[in-house]
Amino acid sequence: MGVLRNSVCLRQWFTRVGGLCLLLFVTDVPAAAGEASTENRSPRVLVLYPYDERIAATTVAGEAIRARLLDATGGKIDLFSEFLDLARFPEGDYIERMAQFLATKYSGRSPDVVIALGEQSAKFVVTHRATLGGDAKIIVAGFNKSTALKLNLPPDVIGAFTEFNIIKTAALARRLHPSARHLFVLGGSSEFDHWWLETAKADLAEFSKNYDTTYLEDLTIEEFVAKAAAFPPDSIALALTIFKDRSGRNFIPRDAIKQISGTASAPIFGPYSTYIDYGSVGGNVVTFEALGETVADLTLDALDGKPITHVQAPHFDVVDARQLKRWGLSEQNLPSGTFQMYRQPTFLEQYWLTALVVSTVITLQSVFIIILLFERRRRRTAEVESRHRLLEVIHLNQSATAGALSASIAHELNQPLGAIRSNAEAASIVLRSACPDLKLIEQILTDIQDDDQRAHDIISRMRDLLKKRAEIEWQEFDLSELTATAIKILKGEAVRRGIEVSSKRAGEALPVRADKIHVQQVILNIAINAMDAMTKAGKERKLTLETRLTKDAKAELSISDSGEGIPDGKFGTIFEPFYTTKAAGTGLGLSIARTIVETYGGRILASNGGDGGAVFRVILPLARGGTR
Amino acid sequence: MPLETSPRVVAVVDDDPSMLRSVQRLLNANGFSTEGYPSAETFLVQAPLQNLGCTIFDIQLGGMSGVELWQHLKESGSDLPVIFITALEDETLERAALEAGCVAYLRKPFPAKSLIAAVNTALVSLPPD
Repeated sequence: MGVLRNSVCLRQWFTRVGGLCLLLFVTDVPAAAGEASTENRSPRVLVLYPYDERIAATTVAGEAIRARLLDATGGKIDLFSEFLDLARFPEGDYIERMAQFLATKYSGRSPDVVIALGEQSAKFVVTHRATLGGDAKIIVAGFNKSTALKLNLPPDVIGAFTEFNIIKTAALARRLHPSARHLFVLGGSSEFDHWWLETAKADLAEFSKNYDTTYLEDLTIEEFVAKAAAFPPDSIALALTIFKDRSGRNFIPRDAIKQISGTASAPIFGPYSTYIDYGSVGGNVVTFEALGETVADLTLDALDGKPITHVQAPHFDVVDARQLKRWGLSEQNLPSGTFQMYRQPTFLEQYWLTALVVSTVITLQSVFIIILLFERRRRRTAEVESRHRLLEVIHLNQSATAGALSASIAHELNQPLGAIRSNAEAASIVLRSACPDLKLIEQILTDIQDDDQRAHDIISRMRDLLKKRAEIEWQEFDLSELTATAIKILKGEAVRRGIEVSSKRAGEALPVRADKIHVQQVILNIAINAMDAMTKAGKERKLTLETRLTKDAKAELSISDSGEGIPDGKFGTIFEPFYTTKAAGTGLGLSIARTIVETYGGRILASNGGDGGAVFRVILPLARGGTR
Repeated sequence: MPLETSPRVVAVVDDDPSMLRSVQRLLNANGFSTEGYPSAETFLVQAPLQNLGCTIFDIQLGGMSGVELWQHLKESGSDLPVIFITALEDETLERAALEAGCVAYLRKPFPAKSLIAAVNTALVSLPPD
């Protein structure tokens, strides 16, 4: 509402009652002088305002003139404004001096066209034309021709008149209230009011035949109010002007209209935009802007030296939407092009841009959401697939490791099995003796239990080594402990190969969160890779596994060997799949190790140690909950 | 049956303590004296070679292997009979060892009678003092 209201204020519909109406008078200027004077310079236009600069009625019209002129000339025009303030300073003396002042002021820059807005400006310019330098064309604007006649305008003064024909307002009323059977026409008691009433009676002669018509004239304001409050519902009322009521009280017409309409029982229409917001439903009116534009067009023609004649400022049907609502009048009955003021726009009308943007955003969002959902689903599917594939690959890798270690695992398992058997057989012999050494038997049985446990542990590790994961099994475990387990698995193989395995454990706990089996696979892959690197005969074979807490609080396991080290230039490729230097290698061990470590947010670094062997460092983030 | 006339000691070398203990118990239960050593190096340093009737070597011993230990003994002039016991399944090594003249090559876990038979064979083959 606020927004619309502001725009309405700016537009400031305008019409003035006969005598009060703004009259724009144009005084023709001797053509020769004007034409000659504009040859080598921008044309000059002086706009005379009747009031001060704060009266919106004239300034809006003036701004419309100004805008149109600047636009049409591309800014090549000199515009001057004078606010005569004649309403507040009507004294003849002052007016005389003002004329002389302006004559002096503009003597060096005499205007080509003088525009006089309003009756008083028109009167001023016509009266002092000679003083002001009489060779400017004069255009006056603002009201009806009858006022112009009263002013006795010279024939070369051209006017943009505003004719108020009550019939157009009546027609608007009829359209909006088609079921009305009664017509009331209201007019005051001043001379102008009477003139208006007589004019209206003549104009409405035909129109009023279809109605039960009543002219309400020569009433007091109270009587007007009382009559209006008793209008039958199927009535339309036309308010002309009430400058004075029968009791002689003066009114600003719109204030009188306001009083009357406040308690009226039927809609009241009026031919003035000033009545709107004072209870009038609306009417056929002239706007300040339209008037200004009409004047500007006349001015442009005048500057071009074209002949100009009196014109009529355009009228518009204007209604107050609030009044339509009050009287239940249908918007659909409005003539096309009717301007509705104070119309509560529909949501879409009021916020069309916002609505458009919002709906576009929502639509786009929806589309994006759908795309993202699809994408997410696709990605999830892909992720699940890729994770499953990774788990498959890891499992293949586990199987390969188990295969490679099978000899040493079998060897390892055969140790306790061998011991158990020997112990059992020894025990049976001891028991067969005359005096069985029961203490020995007890020791033997204890050893058998221990070896059985040992065998079980080996099988457990073997099972883990071959365990297939359908999904990652997140566990929190200590990296040092897992390293120890891995060493147990590797030990046999290392021994078989004559490799000395040593380890150094971090002083503090190194809790990490991952799938234990996977991280173990990383260790096995790197360690087996390291053992494979130590094939050179005669050289000491050492495999060292060391865990520690890094300075930036991460769990690190370094696996170093005493092999030949990583050749220069190969650091970038050793983690690539299928990179291998071994005849039997798949080239997947390190690649899988890296993939696993990265899956758990860690990384693997490769370098060569001080003694020439390779050093692989597996760095994993610590599980939340600290280190110690 | 151990020969009464040659009360020779059987030396067992195995790096697996439990295995070493069980083998010694088994031999003891069958009337043999035993000396146990956890590594080839310990054996070479501590074993009273002249009192030994035969040796039982595990092949994988951490450091010097059983095979290397036998090689070492032969090179230093000893002809002590050797029985290999191993958890390894290595046919090539087994064949090589047997061809090189070991008394027996037993895979863990082995039946007691195989070991006792091998020890008796070894002690019989030993030339009398």
